[in-house]
Amino acid sequence: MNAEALVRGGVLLGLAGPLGMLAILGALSLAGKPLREAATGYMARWIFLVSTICYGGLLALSPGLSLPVEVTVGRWFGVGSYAFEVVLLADALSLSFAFFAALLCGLVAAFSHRYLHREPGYQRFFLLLALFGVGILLIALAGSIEVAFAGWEFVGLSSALLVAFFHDRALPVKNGLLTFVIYRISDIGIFWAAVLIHHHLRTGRYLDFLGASWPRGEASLDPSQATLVALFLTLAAIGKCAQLPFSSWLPRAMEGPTPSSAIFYGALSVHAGAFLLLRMGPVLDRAPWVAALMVVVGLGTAIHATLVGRVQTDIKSALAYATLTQVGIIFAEIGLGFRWLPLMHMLGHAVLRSVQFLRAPSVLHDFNSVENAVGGHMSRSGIHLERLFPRVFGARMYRFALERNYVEAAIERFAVHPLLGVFRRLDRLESRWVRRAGGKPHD
Amino acid sequence: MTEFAAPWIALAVGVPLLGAGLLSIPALDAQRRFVAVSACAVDLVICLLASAPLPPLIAGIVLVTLLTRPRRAEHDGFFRRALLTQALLLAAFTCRHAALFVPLWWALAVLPLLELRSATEERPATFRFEAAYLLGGAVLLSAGVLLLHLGFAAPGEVLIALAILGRAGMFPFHSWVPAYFGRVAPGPAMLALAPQAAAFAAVLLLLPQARPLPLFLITVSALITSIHAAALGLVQRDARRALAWLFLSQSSGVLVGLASGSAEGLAGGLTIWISCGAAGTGLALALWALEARRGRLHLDRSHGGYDRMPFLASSFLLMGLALVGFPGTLGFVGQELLVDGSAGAGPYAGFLILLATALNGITLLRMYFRLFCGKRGGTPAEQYLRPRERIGFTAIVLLLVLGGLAPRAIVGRSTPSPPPPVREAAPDPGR
Repeated sequence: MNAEALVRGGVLLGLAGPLGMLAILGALSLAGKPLREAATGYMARWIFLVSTICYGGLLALSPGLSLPVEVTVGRWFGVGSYAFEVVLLADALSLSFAFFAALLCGLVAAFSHRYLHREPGYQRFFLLLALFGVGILLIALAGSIEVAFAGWEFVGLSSALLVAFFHDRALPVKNGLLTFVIYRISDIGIFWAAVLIHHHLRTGRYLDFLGASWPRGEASLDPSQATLVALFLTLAAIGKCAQLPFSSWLPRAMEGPTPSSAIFYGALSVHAGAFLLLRMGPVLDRAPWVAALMVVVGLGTAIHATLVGRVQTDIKSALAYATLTQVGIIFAEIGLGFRWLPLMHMLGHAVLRSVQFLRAPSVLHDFNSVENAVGGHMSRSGIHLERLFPRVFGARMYRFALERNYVEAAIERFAVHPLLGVFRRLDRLESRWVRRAGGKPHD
Repeated sequence: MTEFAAPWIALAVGVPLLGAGLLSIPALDAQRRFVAVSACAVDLVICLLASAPLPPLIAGIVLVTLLTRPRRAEHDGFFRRALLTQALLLAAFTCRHAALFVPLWWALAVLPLLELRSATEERPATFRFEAAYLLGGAVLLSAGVLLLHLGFAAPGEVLIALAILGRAGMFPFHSWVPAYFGRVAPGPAMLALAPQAAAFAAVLLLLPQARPLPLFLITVSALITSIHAAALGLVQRDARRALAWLFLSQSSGVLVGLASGSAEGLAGGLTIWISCGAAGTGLALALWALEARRGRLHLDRSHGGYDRMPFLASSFLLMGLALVGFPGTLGFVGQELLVDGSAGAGPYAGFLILLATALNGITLLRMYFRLFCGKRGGTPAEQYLRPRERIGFTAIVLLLVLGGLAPRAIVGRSTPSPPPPVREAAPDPGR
């Protein structure tokens, strides 16, 4: 078996498992005949284990394989000169992220099997985990912007539905909708970037327009085209990574079950945007203004999140803001032109944060254990920083951080309400016209 | 498109007419649903055997509407009107001559008004409002065809384009659609819109000549509608009106694709025609099923009850995702083809279509969360979806999902013979 066939087989096998799991769980759920808990849990764990082995094995063997290898699955559909080819790409970047994605999905599946035992939404959770797994692997392994887009949509939908997992309560549902709204608005970026890439280059394949293997490469776009494409991609990434000004959804996403918080908002989903930007590094190299914007956004988010995180009173929210801080720094690293550094940062952060989120329900127990071992109360962190500021200033900073630096309030006041106001005014005009022309429009 | 041969046309139109006639027999009154559904089912088989893509869509839409129609909503005229609608649509969609199409268009304008009259018990002014749009469009179409016949092609086609826009609910002639949905039950309301008779009028009367002005009017109007309807869908408080705006926004892609002049755009438009028709019908029927159990639904509060109706909730979500072009569904296939097909003149059409899609996704999920989530709710009776309802929704979901995963069977049948060249693609400014 030659190297290319090995890579091809490994990539496809690793993806086929989660796809099959999604199909099986989806079909059985719709038919009203779900599997038993044990069967679902086993299937999830083993499928992600196989994926982990596939991508980990390829990663370990990568020095001896002639990467990148483009894997063409086939033509999904096409008419005339247009064809949607399902293309995957195996290189250092995609295999690294795919390995960690499969590993963390498998760990969360194993954790959730017990954590959600007898939970009414057990089957639904694993269905959404399968949807997420397929999505994140497609983003990681995508060989074209269209395939990445498909994965992006899967990840977004599964995220929102998992935030609203406890859907018989109003608050999770409200937060799930908010998450989806922000995702959708930022997804406009990836939609438009894909359209522009096709418009300029008539192709969406990464190897065609990003050049040689990652991180080397030269985008086949001139600087003005690259700037616009990079701007749209950054918009998409900002939403997915919960960077300013779209950071309000992340703490609210903690309404979901702890395993989903771990994998989505600590580990994988929140890094998907950064991954996309890493992949599009050659485009960013031709768009220095957008790269500078990323640095500003990333550092601004890091400062915002570190301030707000210090006033949180529950562990998951504190971890959410800690995640934001690190992702902001990753953003800045990418904007500064680093490629391997943010990748390592991302993967290490994903693993650390997953562990922290999964341990979050036990944090008080852990804390008490540490204090018992130490033999006294632990001192508060950050006291040396607090001593730098006058007391009055500290109080104001506290209030400022408690209000999340008034970012959400500003967005709501200056963007959301005016825009919805315009739409409602249009609706009232419609109603007035219908009323004038004949009768009340509706009950 | 494969030609629909004459004997098949006669059968396809005759069977629902026969069914409508049988419904007049008093002895069959107790079995009217059975008679109507049987006639539709036979007609669907005929349409499938004839191998054209759109007649099976029409027959399928009417069939699932009759299958899933709530028992509480029954009143005598509906089954007969549905079968008549089916016969008229099939006759219209197999028409090859404008002179024959015009009276069918008039009949298709009158049937929704009859539905409106039977649904509303007061406010003749509402009826006048809808009649003005529907019958006014029929007048425009008749005048346009007459002008074509007399040799005044340019003004004739403009009038025909305006008639098409009115019937399809495109800006600025869109107001009748949400008002209609507000008055008529979701199922019959969607039956008036989902088959997209206006789009067929464009195929029959405008595309062969492919003059720039009427196609430009249609494209601009449809693109404005996609954004305008998407924006208004976000702020609706009534579930029916939200569905109306959602459908208008997504289905505008049909006209954009047909007017694009490219093979990809045409295929995209036709694929969206099928996906919007099926998904829109499914959403309307799901809403109808919910209303039969809960009454009129408002989106400013949560209704809950997912645990009692997981199948209906999941079906609603899947059909809605297909409507907004989620990957893996037939809607995504159509949208991809449409965006690529309309890119010849620049990326702007693609920008607007995808912006509308993004906003419509928000409307869809808002509807889903409000209608099925947010509180423990529902009565025990709600959980009992009738087998015929399950069959109807399952069929739609399977079409949309399997059609999306293996679209070649549908895209291949939807791919038209290339019309005469409309215009050269604009030179790519990026190269």
